[in-house]
Amino acid sequence: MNFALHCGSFEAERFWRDSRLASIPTIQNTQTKKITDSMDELLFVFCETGDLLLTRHVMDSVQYDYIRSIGYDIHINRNPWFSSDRENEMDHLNVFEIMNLSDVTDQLLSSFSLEKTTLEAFAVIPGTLDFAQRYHLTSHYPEQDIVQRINAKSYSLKMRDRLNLPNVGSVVEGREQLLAIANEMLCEGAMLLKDEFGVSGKGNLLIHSEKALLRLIKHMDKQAAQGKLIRFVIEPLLDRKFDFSCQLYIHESGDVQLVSFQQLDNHGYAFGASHTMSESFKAHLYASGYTNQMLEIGRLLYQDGYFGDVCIDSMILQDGSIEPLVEINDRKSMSLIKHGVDSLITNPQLHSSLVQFNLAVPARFQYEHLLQNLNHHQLLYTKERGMGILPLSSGTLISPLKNLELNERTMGRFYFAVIYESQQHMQNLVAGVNQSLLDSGLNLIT
Amino acid sequence: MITKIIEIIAEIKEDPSLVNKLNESSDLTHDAGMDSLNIINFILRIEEEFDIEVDFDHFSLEHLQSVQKFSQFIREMAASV
Repeated sequence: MNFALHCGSFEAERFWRDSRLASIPTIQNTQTKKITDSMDELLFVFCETGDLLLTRHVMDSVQYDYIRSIGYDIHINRNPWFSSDRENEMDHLNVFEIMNLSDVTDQLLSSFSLEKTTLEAFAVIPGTLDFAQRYHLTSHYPEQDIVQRINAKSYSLKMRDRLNLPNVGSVVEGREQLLAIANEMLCEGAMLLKDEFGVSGKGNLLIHSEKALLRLIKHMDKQAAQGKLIRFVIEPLLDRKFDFSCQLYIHESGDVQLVSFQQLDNHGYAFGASHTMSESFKAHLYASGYTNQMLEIGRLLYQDGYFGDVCIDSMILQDGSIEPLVEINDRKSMSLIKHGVDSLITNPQLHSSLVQFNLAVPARFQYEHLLQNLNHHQLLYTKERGMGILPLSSGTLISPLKNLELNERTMGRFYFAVIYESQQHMQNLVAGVNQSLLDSGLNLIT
Repeated sequence: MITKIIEIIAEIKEDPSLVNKLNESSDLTHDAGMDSLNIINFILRIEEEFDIEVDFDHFSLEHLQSVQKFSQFIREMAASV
């Protein structure tokens, strides 16, 4: 039987990043990393009946039963890849690297006939193509070095030149160039320093003053003394009204397909929520020539050796003009996940949004209680209701951190889709989620 | 110092109401809702205000468990300069 094997690690950029590059200041946060590691559960939205979803941590059985109840009749991994005492050893590896090392993988996959199975990866990262080869999976992916090159922020910058788009950003190499160009930009206003492989707002730093710039240079000097290379993209801060994105699929034949457009509600530079784009705004994108620019980007990506999923981040500025190309992500994306949720909706009167809430999670939290509470208040999306709150992941709420004091809180993130018929309906559903989260002992971090 | 730290948190979060909501036992991530980018900008702003320099590579999130703990951290940093 033909089926697909879905798998992937989010924040793929951290696996593409060149370790020789200097970085902007960062604070290591193990709790947010644990959340990111569990985001692969969201990939169930791409699954069809009979597909296999392999996740880094075993999905909570309550969530598995729930997604099956709403029509995702899929298989998942039910045993950990390694015993918990080897957790630290696995910490820096992505899910493909972990599965390539684990004996559990052979045992699990031997019960499936993989001859005609296609690998559906979130992104091509180290270990992806080895995994496909080892288990003789059909994979339609270019080589990793091509994927990596295209994901660099400097590639997006060059693409703007190739499209003859006004280009206000620069690639800076070395301390002196950074200082000179950044100082010049600061005369006009705030500027944004972007890591070549930054993701979810973690690789961007907003600089308002010369003093802040000099502090940053000091941070860079320290790294340069250790042999790191200073290479960043810098841009003046754009006067953003809102973000949106365009999803493309580039077929191996070179055909470029427009898949979807999603309107984004970002928190700073990180993902916050995505919403169905209005028909009138879509019409505006077509009329303005934006969609032709996206198709042209797809053709140029193919010319450079890439095919597969693409998410292009775009922006509407305060003056109403379109900034078509902010950055290119050649992988699946949160917006594509939102598009996946849309495929559940058959009633054209319904809309959907994908939302994330950061939460303080008590040690005693039980996911089952949250689902029961949502269901009790008629908020939970079910096949029968056809609308409501659709929880997309449990692992991002249930911390795999063990041995916590019972009064200690960890940070969790609740990803859910809201399927609604009107703005008022959506507001009521979100208010209901807030109450259910509180009833379950979870406090919203705003 | 506690008041100044809370004022800076409110400034970074662009939420003046935090000045009244937060106190010395507030957690900077759970109660003030600072994400990784907020924390970097917050520390850079604290450096300016208290004339200290934080080593980002060795900064522990434990210092952010309460405003009180963070102010103690600043005092220790200032004393070691």
